[in-house]
Amino acid sequence: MTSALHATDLGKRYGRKWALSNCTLDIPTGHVVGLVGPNGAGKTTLLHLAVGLLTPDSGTINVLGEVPATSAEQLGHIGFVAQNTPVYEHLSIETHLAMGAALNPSWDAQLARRRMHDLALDPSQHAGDLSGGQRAQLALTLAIAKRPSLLLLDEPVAALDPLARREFLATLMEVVADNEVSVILSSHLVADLERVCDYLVVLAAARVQANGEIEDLLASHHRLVGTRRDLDSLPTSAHVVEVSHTERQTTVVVASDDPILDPTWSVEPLTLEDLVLAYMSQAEEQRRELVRTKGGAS
Amino acid sequence: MNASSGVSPYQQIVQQVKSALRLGRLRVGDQLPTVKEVVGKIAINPNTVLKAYRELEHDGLVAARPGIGTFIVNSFDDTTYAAQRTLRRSLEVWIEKARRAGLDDESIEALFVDTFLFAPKEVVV
Amino acid sequence: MTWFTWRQFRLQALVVLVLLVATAVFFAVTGPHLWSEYDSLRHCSAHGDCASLNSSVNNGYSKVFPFVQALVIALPGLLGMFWGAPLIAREIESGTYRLAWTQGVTRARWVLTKLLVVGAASMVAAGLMSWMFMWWASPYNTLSANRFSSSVFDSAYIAPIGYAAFAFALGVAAGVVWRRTVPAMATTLVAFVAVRLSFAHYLRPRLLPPLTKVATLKHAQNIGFERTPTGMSFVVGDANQPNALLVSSSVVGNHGGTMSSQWLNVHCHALFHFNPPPGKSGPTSVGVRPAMFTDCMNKISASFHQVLTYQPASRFWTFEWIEMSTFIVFALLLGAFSYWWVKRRIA
Repeated sequence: MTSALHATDLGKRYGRKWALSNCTLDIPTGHVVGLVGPNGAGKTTLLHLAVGLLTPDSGTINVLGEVPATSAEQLGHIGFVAQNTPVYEHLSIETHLAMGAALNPSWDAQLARRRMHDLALDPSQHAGDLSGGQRAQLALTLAIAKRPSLLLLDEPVAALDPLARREFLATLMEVVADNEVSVILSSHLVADLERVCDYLVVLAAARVQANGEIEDLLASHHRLVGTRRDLDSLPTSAHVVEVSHTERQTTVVVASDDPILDPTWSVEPLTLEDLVLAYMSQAEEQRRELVRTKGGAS
Repeated sequence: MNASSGVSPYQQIVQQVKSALRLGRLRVGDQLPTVKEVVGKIAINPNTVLKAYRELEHDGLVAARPGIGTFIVNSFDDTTYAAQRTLRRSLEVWIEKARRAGLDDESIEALFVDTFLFAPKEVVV
Repeated sequence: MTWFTWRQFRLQALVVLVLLVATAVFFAVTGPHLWSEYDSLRHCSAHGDCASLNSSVNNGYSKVFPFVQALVIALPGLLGMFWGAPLIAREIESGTYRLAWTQGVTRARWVLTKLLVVGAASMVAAGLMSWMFMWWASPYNTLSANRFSSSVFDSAYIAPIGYAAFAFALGVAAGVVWRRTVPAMATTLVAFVAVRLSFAHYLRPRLLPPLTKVATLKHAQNIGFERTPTGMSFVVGDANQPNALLVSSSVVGNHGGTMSSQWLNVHCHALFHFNPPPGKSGPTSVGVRPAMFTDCMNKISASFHQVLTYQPASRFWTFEWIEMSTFIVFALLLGAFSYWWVKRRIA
């Protein structure tokens, strides 16, 4: 079974700064994958590498089994909605759809027209006159009317009001319900991702911090609260994600397949948002530590 | 769909269908909304809906007819449904009595919940 | 992709089309009259009233000719700035490249189609303009007999086609490197002008080995003497060579050598020591000492002659072809660069 996205030690550098490094992922098809992380974590970089807008500086990436952007056919299998949904401001909706038809090997013109009709969008309107939500819907239409096997979306709802956001995601889910299409969408809002995704990739500090099916992630991560102590009593297979001590209390977020048997720990449920935040704050703390030691050393 | 209730979305769907069955809002033969319709209304992952429908099928309440849809094939006991109508009327009478006695809504609810929680669980025949 | 390239390009094409049509209308309106006057001029020698017809034709053209010619010469550069520079730069600037390059066409095909379609359009536009212009201006150019001169040559028939291709390709390349339209336009303008001027000034005269002609100074026109820091020197206008391209001209001694200011001092002593005003004395001051002046000139023409190197009028078309082909080769090189850069490097 071909992966939707397969990256091995993938890296991309701007000048001397690595926007993405040591990224190894094997994302299976048939999922709605959430790519979450703080701004500047490398989400856009990863997506751009996946559609061939960028070329790797280290490592490799394969999408649907092929190197990105190498052939028209391969490009035709992938639908992409870039951040801030770029459109040609001075061209009409009709022209955009005609462009999609002319530039893609497979194009479902009826689907495209129907969607415009359902949204009550006048085809002769210029794309520049549309609201943010309407533009996002146009961009989504352009991506799905080519009947892709994989949809990649870069923060598609970040700039939208709540209603537009809900409508966009609902449309996306309808597409997933109707077709065999895998989706990878990036966002920094965990709440949205939790509703629509069943697979998660956490990117922070230019690295992959966690990835897997959301069910599995939630089942294997726990928050432990107990009196202040060292962490030796935890099973060796437990991987500490984040730890914080107060004067009397220690709180740990762990990933562990084995059950936590020590009764002095109280095990609390962890929401997806908590989980993501734990990874993100740990990555941030590590990054700051690195900066501090560098500064201290020089 | 209540995102913060702590109950997972798929469980909420199962519970909603079951309670609709119990209250007679869904009858045998009715068709459940398609997965596409559900996710089009509330933006959640289609797999979640599929999972809920599968559990309902496993419980014997619904059956999926490929190409057509998912239909209710079994409800809870019909007698339960008939008894519900009578019980609802008795409850309405009781509520009216409570109001005439001067209780406000919160007191009525508290009285009912308190009595319900401490009532015997089994029916004494 | 071809269709979509046209669709994106529509407005820009329309502007130039309107310009071409307006110019064509202008030519159509004024041309026939000028041509008929020119025709009468050609047949007038028998009747003797040529002078006034001549000036009539000249006057008919002289007011508008500079503007029209300026337009024809500027057109390739304008095409480079407004068609070439934004071609790729604007897509990158506005972020629409993220839409364009993720459709079902490879980047290679995308850039190639744009280069070919708009490049061909610019060549056609420039060609149309220059041929229309040459038809309209032909009487004037024939009378002026300056076909090989820089201003006429640059706007004649096929050279502008090469310039347009070059300017366009230059614009695209600048856009690809800068990724912003405005700096690309500025770079295109500067580079285009620099290349054109250098080529016209330094290379064109030497594309083929020039011919040499020796001319006597007896009937030279525009002669005079100039006081320089080192002494006196002799200046003479270039001998008349209709429709030819002058490469160089010099005054050479019959047995070799140049005219030095000592020679002048010795042989034309009387003329120079009559308190001549400093600076160039031209034909207007001849009246001061005509006899001395004529005497000096006779001595000069006995000992010196003028040597001209030039490209003959017969080579006009050869040179046009060479120039057009060279600029098209430049354009192809720049086009290949842009293609390669977009395909491999740009992001």
